[in-house]
Amino acid sequence: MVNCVLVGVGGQGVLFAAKVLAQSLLLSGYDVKQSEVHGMAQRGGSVMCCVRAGQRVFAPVLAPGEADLLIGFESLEALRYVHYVKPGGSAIVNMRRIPPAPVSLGEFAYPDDVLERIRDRATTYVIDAARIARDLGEPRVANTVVLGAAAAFCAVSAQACADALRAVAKRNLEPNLKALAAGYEIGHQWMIRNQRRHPG
Amino acid sequence: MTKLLLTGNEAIARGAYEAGVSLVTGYPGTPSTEIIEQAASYDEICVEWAPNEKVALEVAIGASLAGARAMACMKHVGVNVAADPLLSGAYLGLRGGLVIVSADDPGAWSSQNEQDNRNYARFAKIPLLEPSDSAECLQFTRLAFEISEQFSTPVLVRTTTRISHTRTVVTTGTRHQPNQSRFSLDLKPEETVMVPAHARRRHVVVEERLHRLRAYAESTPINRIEEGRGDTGFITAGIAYQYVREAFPEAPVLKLGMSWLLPLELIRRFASCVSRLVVVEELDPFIDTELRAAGFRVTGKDLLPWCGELSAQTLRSTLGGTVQQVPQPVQGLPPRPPVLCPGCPHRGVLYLLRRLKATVMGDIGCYTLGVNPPLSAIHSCTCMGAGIGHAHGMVQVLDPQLARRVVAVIGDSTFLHSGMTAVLNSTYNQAALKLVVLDNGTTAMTGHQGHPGSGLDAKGRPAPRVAIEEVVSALGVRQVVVVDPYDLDATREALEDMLECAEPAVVVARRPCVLLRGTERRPPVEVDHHRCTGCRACLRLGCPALGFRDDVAVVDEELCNGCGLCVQVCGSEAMKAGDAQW
Repeated sequence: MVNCVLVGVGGQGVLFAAKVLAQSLLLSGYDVKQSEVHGMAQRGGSVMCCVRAGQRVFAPVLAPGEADLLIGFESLEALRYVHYVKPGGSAIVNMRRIPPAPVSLGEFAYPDDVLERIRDRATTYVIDAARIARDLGEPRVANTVVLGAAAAFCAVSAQACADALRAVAKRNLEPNLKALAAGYEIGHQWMIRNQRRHPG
Repeated sequence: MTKLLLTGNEAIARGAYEAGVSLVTGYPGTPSTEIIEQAASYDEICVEWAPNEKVALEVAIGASLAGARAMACMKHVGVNVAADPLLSGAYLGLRGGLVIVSADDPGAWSSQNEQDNRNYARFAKIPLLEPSDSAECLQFTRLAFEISEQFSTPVLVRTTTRISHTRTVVTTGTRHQPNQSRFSLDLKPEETVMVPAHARRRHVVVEERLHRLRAYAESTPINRIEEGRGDTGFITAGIAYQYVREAFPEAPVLKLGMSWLLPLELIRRFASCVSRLVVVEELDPFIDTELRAAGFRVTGKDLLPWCGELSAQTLRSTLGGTVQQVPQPVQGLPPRPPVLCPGCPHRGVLYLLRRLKATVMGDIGCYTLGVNPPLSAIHSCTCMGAGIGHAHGMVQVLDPQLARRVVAVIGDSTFLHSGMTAVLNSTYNQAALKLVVLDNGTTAMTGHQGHPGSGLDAKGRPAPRVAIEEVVSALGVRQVVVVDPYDLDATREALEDMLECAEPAVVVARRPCVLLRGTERRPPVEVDHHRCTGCRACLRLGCPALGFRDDVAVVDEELCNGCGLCVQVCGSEAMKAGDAQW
């Protein structure tokens, strides 16, 4: 089974990423369910959606402690949902920090130790997607870099991922394909390094 | 035969297409909206956005009376608006298949309540189908048209957010072409004119139809027993079926695809094979109550929650599965409530209404988010179009000093949905109604659907555009002003004039939604950190692109759309538009 939770801020493209990931799992031969929430929940608020794949999937939504992989497009949101990760699970976290309204208003501080606190509860891989996207000359597709890195952890090939993106993306296909490939390569290297560290 | 990953909404549209539907209509509302959007992609179907759900259902009934298959789609609260044609339409002698889709929202993810619309099936005396995934959304929608024609009844297809907005694997089929030779004007007045004499006889027909539908429910393959191991048998439908399967994979299950009318004989057979009967359903005890009334000994809502969504975890912990320790969320994090977008044209009006100490009767739309600090500008939100009536009622009972602070605020789409008659009420009954229509040219909250004031139809083609200022004038309002809400001085002046007015007065604040494709986005605002005094006046706008660091205001360049409101509220000229000179 592949059990992923994707989290971020409304407007960041979390739903788009979930759709591409789900499509790539379908192309890889799995039964797939991908759930999301629209409307008021989306406007700049905290967004969470689930992608599940396997021989047969029943519930479309994961509960706390059930995700193999948390994909955080924003750091604070990754920490907010880290309890969805099961013991021994992983988190891929974008370094991007978007202060929520209560932080801008000075009612709360954006915690300094977000990444450390995520590391306490999951094997964590941090990615500076904005920098990678800038280096590619495509600053607007940072989230596709995150998606690519995550896909490498989800038993789908780089090819299936690219095919899924072609099926889903309506615009900016070329920059997104570049970002996806770059992200996938990073995720793949993490996987290899992890396997060396924990062989078998 | 193609294998696709479709949401429940997309699959319902596909099912209607394959069933040979001729007309699909509805009003946007989460979680139902994408049914119409998907249907609009099929050239063979007439697809429309109606101004509201009542009109939508009346249109669909008309198409059915002419012999065509028709479908009306709406969110759960939309069925309240359409309840009048639903309950009387159930008496009519329909000809073409008529399907009503109600997308309910347990958990109230994007709704003002959690009502359970299965109750409408019982209330209107019509059959109810509840798909459990997208494949069933397609299959059941096709079947709903057949049931509708076989029994001459409207059929209610009810989904919930997790069905509507979950992508699952669907195999599509081909379209069954509508038989246009059956389309005609052959109406039988005793079946279509509900004067009392006809209505009394039609009621008898409706009750007889229920008996035949109950027999159908006993034999339809969409009500099925899935054999299993164990003494506990589960009766379930819709999304709850998936949670039962997840939590108790080995258990015997009676899956109801048609959950009204209930197949009591089938349930009796199932009950005889198990020692404990558990009904698992979200929200109301709908099946539970029926079975208790029929004399079954069941467990259900005595253990399971009545509010919110179910989950496999809830079932395990309440009904005795293997419970693992559930990890708890990290405490004390800054919350992230949904907010108005950077550059939202509603922001300036809400900010000013707060400064003017107005009590605002709000409505359904993005502007409801103005309830949150720092705008804190909305004081009521009930249902579509309600704010204008609320404001009128307040004005009529309060003394003039308090009454002059009452303002109704409504969006363009909501105004055209059900705000117009309330304005008429105020002009007729001579109350000094103050109304701001936030006209962003689209139905924004649900994702930018067209409406009669948008200039676009459901298929994205140009459509006649009604001007809201002309509508309110025609309704009898003499004081009408149109302003650009990015211009704070002009907007403030218009609002102050409106508040001072002794008769009904309307301000139309017009600027397109900043997220609409083609809307002008200006370069991000720049801050001169030396001039910024750290007074935080700009933060009162509640703009997500504005923050505060090292005692000065900062602008997030990635988020800022350059609306310039912060430039206008800054008292120390520390901010400037991205394309202006210092």
